[in-house]
Amino acid sequence: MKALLLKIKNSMAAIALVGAFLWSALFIFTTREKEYPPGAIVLRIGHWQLEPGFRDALYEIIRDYEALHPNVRIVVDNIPESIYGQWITTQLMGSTAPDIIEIGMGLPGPTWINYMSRYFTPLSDIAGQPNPYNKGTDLEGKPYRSTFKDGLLGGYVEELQEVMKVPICQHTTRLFYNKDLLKKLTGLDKPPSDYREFLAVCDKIRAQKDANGLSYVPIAGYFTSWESRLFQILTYPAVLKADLSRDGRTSVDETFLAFRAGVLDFDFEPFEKRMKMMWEVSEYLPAGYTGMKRDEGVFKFIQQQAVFISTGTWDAGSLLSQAKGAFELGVADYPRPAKDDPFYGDTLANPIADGSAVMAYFGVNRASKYEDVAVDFLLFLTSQKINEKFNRRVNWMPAVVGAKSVEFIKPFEPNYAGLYAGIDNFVYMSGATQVRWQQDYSNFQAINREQKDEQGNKIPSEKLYKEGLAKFKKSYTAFYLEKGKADFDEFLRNQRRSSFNHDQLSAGIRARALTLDGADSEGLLKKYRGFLRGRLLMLDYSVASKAALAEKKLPYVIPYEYTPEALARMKEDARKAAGQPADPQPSPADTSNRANE
Amino acid sequence: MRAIKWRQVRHHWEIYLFILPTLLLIGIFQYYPASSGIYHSFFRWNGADISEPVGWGNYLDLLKDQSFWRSFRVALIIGLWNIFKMIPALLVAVCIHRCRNVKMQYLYRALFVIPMVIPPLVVVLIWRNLFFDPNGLLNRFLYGTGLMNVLAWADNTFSLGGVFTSTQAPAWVGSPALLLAACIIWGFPWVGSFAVLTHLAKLQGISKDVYEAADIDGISWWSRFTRIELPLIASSIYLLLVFVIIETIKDAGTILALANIEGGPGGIVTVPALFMLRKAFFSQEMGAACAVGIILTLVVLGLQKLSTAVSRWKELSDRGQMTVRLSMYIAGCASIYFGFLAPVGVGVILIFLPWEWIGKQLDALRKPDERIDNHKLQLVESRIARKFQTSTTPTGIVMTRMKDRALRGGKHLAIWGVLLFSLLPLYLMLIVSPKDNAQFYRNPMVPTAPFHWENWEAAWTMVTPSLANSYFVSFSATVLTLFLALGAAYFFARYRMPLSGFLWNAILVLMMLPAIANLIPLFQLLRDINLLNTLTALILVGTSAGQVFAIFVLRSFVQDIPQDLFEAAEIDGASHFRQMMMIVLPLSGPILGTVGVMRFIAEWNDFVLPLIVMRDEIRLPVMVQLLRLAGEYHVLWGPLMAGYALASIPIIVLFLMSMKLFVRGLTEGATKG
Repeated sequence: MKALLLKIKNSMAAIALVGAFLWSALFIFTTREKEYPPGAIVLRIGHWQLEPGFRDALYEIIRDYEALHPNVRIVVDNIPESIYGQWITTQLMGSTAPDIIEIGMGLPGPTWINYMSRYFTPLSDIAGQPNPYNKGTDLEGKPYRSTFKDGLLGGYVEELQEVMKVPICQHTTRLFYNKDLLKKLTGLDKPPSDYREFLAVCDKIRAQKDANGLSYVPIAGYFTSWESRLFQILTYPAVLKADLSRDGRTSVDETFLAFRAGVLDFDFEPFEKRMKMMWEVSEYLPAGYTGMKRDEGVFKFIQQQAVFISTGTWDAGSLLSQAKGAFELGVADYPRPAKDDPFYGDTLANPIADGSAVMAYFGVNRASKYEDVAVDFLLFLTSQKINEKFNRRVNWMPAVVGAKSVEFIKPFEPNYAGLYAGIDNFVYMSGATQVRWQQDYSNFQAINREQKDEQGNKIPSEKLYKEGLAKFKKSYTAFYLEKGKADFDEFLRNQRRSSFNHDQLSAGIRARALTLDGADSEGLLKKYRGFLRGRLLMLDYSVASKAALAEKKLPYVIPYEYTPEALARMKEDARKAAGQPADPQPSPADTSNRANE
Repeated sequence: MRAIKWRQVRHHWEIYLFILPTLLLIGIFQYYPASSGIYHSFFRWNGADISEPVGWGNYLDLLKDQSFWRSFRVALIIGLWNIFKMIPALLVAVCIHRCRNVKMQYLYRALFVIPMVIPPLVVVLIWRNLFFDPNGLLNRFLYGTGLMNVLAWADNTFSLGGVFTSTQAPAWVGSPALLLAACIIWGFPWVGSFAVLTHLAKLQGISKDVYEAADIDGISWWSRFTRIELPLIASSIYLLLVFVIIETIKDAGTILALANIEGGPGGIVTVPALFMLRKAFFSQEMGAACAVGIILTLVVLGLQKLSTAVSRWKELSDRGQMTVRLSMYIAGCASIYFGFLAPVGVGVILIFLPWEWIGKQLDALRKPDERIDNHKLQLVESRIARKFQTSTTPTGIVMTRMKDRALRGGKHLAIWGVLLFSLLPLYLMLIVSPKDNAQFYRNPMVPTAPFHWENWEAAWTMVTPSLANSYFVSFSATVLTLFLALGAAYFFARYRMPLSGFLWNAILVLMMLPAIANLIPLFQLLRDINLLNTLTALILVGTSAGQVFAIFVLRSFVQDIPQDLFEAAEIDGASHFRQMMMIVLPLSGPILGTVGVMRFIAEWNDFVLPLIVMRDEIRLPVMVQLLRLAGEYHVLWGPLMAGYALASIPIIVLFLMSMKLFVRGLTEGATKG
């Protein structure tokens, strides 16, 4: 007996190890059984929206959908934004990507366009048809595209000439502030709306020390919103020089072409202004904010270590619930320079537009076994009632016309009038240049403002700024122009490759048209001709002309800048079209004014 | 070892069956990806549908890419610090070894093992979130102890760039000036479990006679360390050094967790492996990423060869020494010429100068002075006499005892000091786990009521599936590794079979191959054989990765088993399989335990491969799941810390249960190599 006990004692470790193994095996296999009931259509959704409430809202909608379609099971992959880019790349390459994929995070814009052309299903077909889940609402019978607040413009990818994605919500960014702390440190009830006054308030906050003897931080981390809502707008004049397609925005390839042609560079005044404003505001962020993640900025604000944070409606609900009982949360618009501001006044004294603000785009994986079910779920999610339910649950603004948001979010409704952002996505072409931009730009931002010279005197901020900016320009410009060319070539190659998918689609439409008769055939043939025209005129021409510009085989003509003769011709044409008599020849002064308009 | 000739193979052919599964496994999961990597490194390849030959284009681009070379400089700095970070483990091992009380020795060993086996990823995340935050524990400690004033003074005096000021807390992971330091500091006091136990095992092998003889000679505690212990554990230090070099080159996970994929502001902490991941998964330049992988492999191989040559310098022939020197001069000159790592180039040239020869030439220039300094001799003799005299007088005895006690007290104090720091991450995990966020913000360091035990329940729900997955994968891969490696070790140790030399070298080469270099082709392979997003993939790749080290260790062990036993069994008509079962297996319990524990921990802690090949939340291993949980926008610290603790507990329990076996295994030969 004693020997047996001893043997058992000696074998305890092995028994425990094997026991744990058996438990793990049992757990794994029984869970699998539960996960995939036999015969079920299993649909997967991949996204990075890990804000509190999003998943609960999504699961609720999924339950509703599963109740309607008992043979469908929807599984959600919740991926943090920090690894989303790598994750989706590997999943797409490995053909294991979810059926419905959120688009836009963690990878350069051109890479997403490349992925969309390779791995995603075009949704142009359904854009023109009504959403069946809108039955019984005021949107019944309306084309799907018209049911979105932006007319599905954001889902249309110009480079591919297709609708590739649909948004599920609207987001705007605002300046959130801690009312109690602001009052305590500055005596103010709300932050000033004037930019210079705001900086003075930040100075006042920073001059005061907390219980540990450390200076208060005026603005918590998370700089992205400042960039897009304030600094980038200063670069709008650059859009007028680079917007070759004249669609009111610049894509990364257009910006690159303008830089390559020498029309734009970092000495261009709007860029200098943008950098200057960034430098001024970033002075009031915590040290090392470039290394902080979004949640760390929010964490600092909630801990009442900072007075302001700039973030979007995606964080609004969470901020409100976390601030409850601790401090009163205030919301304000971004401070703007006054009209008489000597440096920024001419550009930024106007209101700033939010744009259409639709966000959180989802697309359908072309390799999905259940492509039709995936599309159907997207239709369900973006139907008026369901989109309203979803966004009310998560405290966001719906993307669908007529869907109402909760009362709390109403002050965040987008402002459509005002100044629009300038050069998109900063200044990079693709992967390598984006990494380099992030490195050099964050290096510039991270310059230590407390540096002292050899005599022990603090180096003036202005001097550090100028040196830092010069270093940034020198380091980045050469790399951007050299490596950017390789990335640009690859970008064009990818666009050409996407034309193959386009051809497949149009050939399919033509084949269907030939098998039908009458009006159906006519309609499809019209669509086919439209596709073909789009392909030949837009895609092929656009790619060929851009390639020629990059190789400097074509002269770069700055858009929105016309010769007096051209302006006169245009004016004359317009008069003729309106049936008005010819006007005397305008003076050069007049034409220049028109050009500015 | 008996050599078998080709014509005798037909009598022993079945022994090849012992190596066959291993060859298949490493052939598929090691050699194929490596070959595919070499092949694709000559293509502009996006990992999917674009594959256009570019010749040496990828390599030439890399050679011209300054950021690539900068990444090696970062790896070099981190590597040098990693070598420095080996010292605490060595000192702790010596201190524990010198404990006279066996129970205390065991207690220390157990206490050290607990914090040391916490998964590195968990430690990194704790350091990033709780220590390196400007309002985190590190800055609090620096301000609390007044060290920040010292640093601010040093900053002011030596113009360090205003990184440290007394009014603004430094940002360790946000400031380019401090990020590299953060990558080095994390994990303080850097006492690795494997290193301590390896050193301990070696130290325990030192004969007591050596110490007794040293005591008679009146050797000091320091001389005992430098003259006895250090030389006798040199082989384990060398082994760990090679591991450190390989780990430094291939490690991307730590930097990824601390500084994201960009490598921090200015990409300041980009190491080669991170550079490769960026090429692959951010820029979609898979071909270029493969080229980086090939260069990494060559660098590791070169470093390994170099470290072998340096460690056996005196055994090298003059010609061998000259070859090494010349290679180093060429490498040094090249790095100076191209301006990459120029200071390192100068250092390399200086190190490999023939100092012995230069010294001899300088000595020859001096006048020979062979007079014996009688005065000095008398001084030494009188010092020795005084030493013995004082130790026999009552005051001398008291003094000696006091000195002895002070030394012992100092030793225990040092151990407890290091222990305290080592236990800090574990302490934080346990203290924070029952807190809600408000309690955590107010007071993260001490327990606060009410305790939210529901956090553990939430954590259990969150991590149970991943715990089960991790355990299943780690256990299966470990058992498979041991089973296959023991067979392979038997093949190599029993006879010198035809081709065994070739196969042995082919396996040894894999030891130097950084796994991360093959990541992309391996991913492609798993996709092609439909194993992506399956636990089977992790088990098979884990088993193949573990083969090399396990065979390397087990082969030495099997070789040491007396041949008489095998011969007796052969006379009795035992087959090779029976010899394995009846002789090798019963004798190799401790060594299998050691290798098994090491493999289990390696599998448990691996997260780079699962991060890339796994998709479904329900199939994720625990490390990837923790990484995902840490990426929430609104972190709930209590459940997160409870999750960290749950991920650490199985490893702690495993180590505590198998520690005796582990140390015995190490003593019996795991570190022979």
